[in-house]
Amino acid sequence: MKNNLIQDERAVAQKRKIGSEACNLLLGGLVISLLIKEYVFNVPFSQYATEVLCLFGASIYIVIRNIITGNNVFETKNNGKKSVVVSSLVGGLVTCVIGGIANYAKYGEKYTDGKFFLITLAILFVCGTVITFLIYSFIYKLNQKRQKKIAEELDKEESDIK
Amino acid sequence: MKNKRMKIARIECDLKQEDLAKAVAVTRQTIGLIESGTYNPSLNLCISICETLGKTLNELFWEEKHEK
Repeated sequence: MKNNLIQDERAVAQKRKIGSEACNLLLGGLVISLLIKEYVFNVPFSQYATEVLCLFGASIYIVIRNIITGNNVFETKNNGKKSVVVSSLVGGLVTCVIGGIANYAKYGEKYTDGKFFLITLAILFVCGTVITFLIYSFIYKLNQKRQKKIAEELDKEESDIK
Repeated sequence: MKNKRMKIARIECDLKQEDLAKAVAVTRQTIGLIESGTYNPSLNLCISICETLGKTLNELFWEEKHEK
């Protein structure tokens, strides 16, 4: 019997969009859930380890899949390096703020001198910036390598005027 | 199926894939995929390509087998 199932491309595209939106909402919810568990309820790490794993797993999947498919994850051609540096600084700042609040909440009474807290913030900022920079640099290199390979394939195809 | 007509039209206009991609605001990869026949462009993109290359939709995208 012939299968007369309708494959409406508009409906399919809309369903994919809805799925993508739901995934984004889920990832956002996961981040909020992690922050609340960590900083509001002070839940031990083992209680939310699976959520951290899911979040990192999903993030890595999104980045790797985009690179393999050939999508340029650093959209602009010339500002790629700049965006790596800016993202690293933002990463460092976020680590500094979140880590600083958590640190002060835990050890606030032990800081007799504000100088030590400032040193802690500086260490957090430097560590956050360096780690984010290393991760982004790795992704940037991987992305560049893939883009170069695609460009070579296209050059080869373009020169083949048949 | 390869879209040779689009490739020829692009070469006639003395445009590289990169130039056409910039003109229609897509990536070079998308143009390459359309020419190799592995990506089905939207109608809007087809129109943009036709306008840039000075051709009609029929000239670039209509295949003989569709004609009655």
